[in-house]
Amino acid sequence: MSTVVCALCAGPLVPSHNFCEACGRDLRGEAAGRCWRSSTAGPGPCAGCGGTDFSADGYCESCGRRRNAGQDHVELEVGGVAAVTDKGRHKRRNEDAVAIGRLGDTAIAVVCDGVSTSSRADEASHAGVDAAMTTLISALAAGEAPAEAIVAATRAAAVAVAALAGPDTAHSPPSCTYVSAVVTGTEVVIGWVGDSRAYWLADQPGQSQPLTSDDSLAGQLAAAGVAADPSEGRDPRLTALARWLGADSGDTEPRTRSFQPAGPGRVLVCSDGLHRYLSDPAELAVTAPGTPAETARALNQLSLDAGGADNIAIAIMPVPLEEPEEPTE
Amino acid sequence: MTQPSFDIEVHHNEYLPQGGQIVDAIITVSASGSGLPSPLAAAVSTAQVIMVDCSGSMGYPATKMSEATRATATAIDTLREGVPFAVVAGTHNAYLIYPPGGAVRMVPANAQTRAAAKAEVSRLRADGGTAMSRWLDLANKLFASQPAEIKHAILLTDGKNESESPQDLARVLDECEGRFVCDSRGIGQGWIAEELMKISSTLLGEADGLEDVSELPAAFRAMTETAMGKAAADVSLRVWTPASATIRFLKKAFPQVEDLTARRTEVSPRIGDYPTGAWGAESRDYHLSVEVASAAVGDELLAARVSLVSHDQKLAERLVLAKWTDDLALSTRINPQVAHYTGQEEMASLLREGVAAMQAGDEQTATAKLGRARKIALESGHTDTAKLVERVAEVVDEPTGTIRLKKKEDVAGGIEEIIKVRSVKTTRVKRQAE
Repeated sequence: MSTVVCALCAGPLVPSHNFCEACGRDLRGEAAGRCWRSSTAGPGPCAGCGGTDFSADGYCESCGRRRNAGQDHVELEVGGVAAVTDKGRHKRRNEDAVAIGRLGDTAIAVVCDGVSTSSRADEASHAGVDAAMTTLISALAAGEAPAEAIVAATRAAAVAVAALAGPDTAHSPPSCTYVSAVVTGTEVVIGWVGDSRAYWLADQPGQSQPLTSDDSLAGQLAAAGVAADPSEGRDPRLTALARWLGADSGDTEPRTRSFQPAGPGRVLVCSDGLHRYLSDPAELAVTAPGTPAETARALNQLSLDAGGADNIAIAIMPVPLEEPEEPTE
Repeated sequence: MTQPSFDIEVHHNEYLPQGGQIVDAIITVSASGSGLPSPLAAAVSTAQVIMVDCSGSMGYPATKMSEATRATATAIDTLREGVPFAVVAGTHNAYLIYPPGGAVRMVPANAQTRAAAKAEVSRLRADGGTAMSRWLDLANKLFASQPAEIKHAILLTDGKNESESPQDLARVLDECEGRFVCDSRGIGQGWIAEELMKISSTLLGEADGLEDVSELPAAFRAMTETAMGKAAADVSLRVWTPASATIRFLKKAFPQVEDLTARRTEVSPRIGDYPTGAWGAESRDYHLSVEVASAAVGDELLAARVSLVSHDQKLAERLVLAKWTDDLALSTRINPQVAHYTGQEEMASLLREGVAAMQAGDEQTATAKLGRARKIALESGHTDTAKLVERVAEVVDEPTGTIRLKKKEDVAGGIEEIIKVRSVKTTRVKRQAE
């Protein structure tokens, strides 16, 4: 019998119950055997004044501060999959979001990175991961192939993010990048929009490789085999996003890729808060050994130590996956 | 009554520099939709009282009284069928001249009552003093018996409110506030702009002066038509501001400048209602200025939540946001709407102060203020106002905008009061990409 934990509080769930005994989360519609968690903040006090009364549109009723959709630092673990997200050292709030989940012998990870020049970017990324994860799990549970499920999930995320636009954001509607990975017993399927990435980190030396290519000029050049001059640093013209999710985005269809690992290893899904500092697959593979949780934590620390200029989101999925029977927490 | 649909737009630069605390926004409120009645449809209940100055001065020249009589008849003809109305003759006292019989009551407009009312009006004679508080007090009592949604009054005067103390008028205005809307018009040379502006400010109407009494019938028709087109009464602008924020001011900015800051009714410590009066199919602008506690770069604050409410029902809502940034290109951007109305508010003050200086014999101050006001008027496309200034001053040097006051005998009587009463009228900024 599988152990299922609550997506919100990680407490053990009784499959026949409608609500989590520990936190009261509504479980109707969540079939047994599926479980996911995201870095989206639960109801908490206002960061500005400690007030607990918020308007429906997310502003503190006392001091007017907007409620952050994310949290400064979150560590997640679901069925052997681990994730860490961190505000970094320079950003005022965490606009990166991550969600990880399990559905039987399938693992899922989604990362969205809020576009910092857009309005309420943290709401965009968190709405994105939550909508994508909900759709992915339902589609996979309904028997859809991973690639189709990823396309459906990306569309759901695009709709959720676009819906955040309002009259106050006419000039810069909430926007984010998107990357998701589905790991089954035999393959890894990736879908992405923007410059958040997935990597295959093989246990076997020489096998590690990137699984995505950025939707930016730099990403297209790299995919075409044009090596970037490291002395140029991050040229904003080259790294500017060509595609994103948001009300002002034209093309939100994900690029997808399927990959059959030759041996054991790990799938890394991350935002540029990590890959701006370390982007070489072979180096990533050897830099942080250990359990998925240890690896995620170590890569997060590496990004912080390197400067922590941006928000960080990292998910690590082991291949092969842990048996779903094993306890997860 | 079907509510018209209201829409709010916010124009402002939401970016503040580090340490910035002032958020200025122009709030555009537009009412439209099928809920608005056509001028002839009796969809909304309306009542109207016409107050005609019958003081002694109205008899000189004789055209004053005859045009006032004609204008009142025109207004009566413009009333929608079935609208309750009454006519008050104002002197140092107030007399209900229609409906007759002495009882304080109003009667619905129809062919028979219109004819009877016009017959009574044609018998009006000029005789007596001027005590506007008596007129307004009678109008207030007349309206008190009316269940109508829109209660509209017209006040016509040619003189100063001299048969009573300013305190009498202030006290009655307090009693009338929120009970009915009053438009006022001055004719001739003896009326005082400040008095009419005080009445119209308090009673949320429009004050104006007419240069020629022959304009009166058209003015009365226009005021009555506008009143018949109103579909929503008692609409308030509700403003939520965060704890530790202060509302520096809330002004109506278009079509006239009207400071509403002191008109706040506290709903809760952070929410206040400001009266906006009755609405037809129209669009107005309000200028809100909020001082907020400074926050760190990257922080986002809801500086104000602006909504329109009627009978505690929310009709529309918009947010006024503030974001702190270290990007000077963002924080120094000036919103064209805010800049335009800041200029219009300055122009209004300069016009009033300039005319006051002129009347006090301070030529130097008057020249400087009126010259500057004319310059702002021209720059903002307010040619009517520029022309008004040119009625009291001649342009010495157009490029610099230098003016010279005309000799007193060359200035038409009453024009100074017209400049003051029209100083609050604003133009709209030409809509362009912000």
